[in-house]
Amino acid sequence: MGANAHEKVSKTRASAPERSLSRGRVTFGFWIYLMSDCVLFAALFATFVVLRGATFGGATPAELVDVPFVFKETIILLTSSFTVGLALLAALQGRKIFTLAALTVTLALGATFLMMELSEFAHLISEGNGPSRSAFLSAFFTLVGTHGAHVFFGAIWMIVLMAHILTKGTTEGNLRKLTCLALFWHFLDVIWIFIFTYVYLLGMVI
Amino acid sequence: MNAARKYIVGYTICVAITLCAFLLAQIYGQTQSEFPTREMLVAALVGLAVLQFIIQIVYFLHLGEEEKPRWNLAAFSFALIVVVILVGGSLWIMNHLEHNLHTNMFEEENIPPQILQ
Repeated sequence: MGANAHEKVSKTRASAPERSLSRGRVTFGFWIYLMSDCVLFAALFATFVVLRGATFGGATPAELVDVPFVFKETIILLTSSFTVGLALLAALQGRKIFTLAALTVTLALGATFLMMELSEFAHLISEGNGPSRSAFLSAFFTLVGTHGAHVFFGAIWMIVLMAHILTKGTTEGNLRKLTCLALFWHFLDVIWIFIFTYVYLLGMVI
Repeated sequence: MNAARKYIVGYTICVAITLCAFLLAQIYGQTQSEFPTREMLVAALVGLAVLQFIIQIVYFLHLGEEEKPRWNLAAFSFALIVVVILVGGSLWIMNHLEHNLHTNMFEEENIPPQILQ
């Protein structure tokens, strides 16, 4: 098959980024996982859309929005999506130190994002607007929390992969794992586009 | 376009789009929905989100760079269809339910007291 021959070529010449960005079988399998994760988020979005009016006397969608705060979160996650892409490109060129540096920056940004999200949750719960307050808040915490959980597990994956790259370098196996991780991280930022637009920004309008 | 430049271009466009979306929302809040009216803001935010979605799919997830047969694109298109049916369908059905019941069953006053106890 042509694809196999292609993989062999990229194995011997991992220095050509354009060529190596093309995907093998493992990345295709991971892509299928991402697409089914999409459906999971769609179900949570559908729940949120239906229940957003069911505030039951608790906080309304408009009360949750703090525009500068969400803006910072968004830029932080977007930047981390960019740096993980740089890490992948550096790894494809065999630049181990740059890869690790870019992954460290990504990890720091991801951790900051998670901290901000957790502080927002803690603030809401301390004001009596926890997930048990209303159907709207249940849907809100489930949707945003599931996204946060993905970021959390992505961060753990990143720490493990950094240890692998530190000890074994940018091997073929590590490149494959990093390609999947980069896809995962980009995907989380794509989901966040819809969360910040629909849950937060449109929350203050409709 | 070389791979690194593609990331930089994608990132710059996405930051610009994000900035626009939040600025519009901020101005809307400050002018008490005077300049971007409610309809304008909703249309602009939805448009910007879809635009950023496409930019990220192309520039970060590299969809469209694969060789034929494009299985990644096929899986992506199918997922997109499922998402539209799931979200759109839920909204459609639940709105009709509300319309036909003439009441919002999620509001406190519409819930029978024995359930609340």
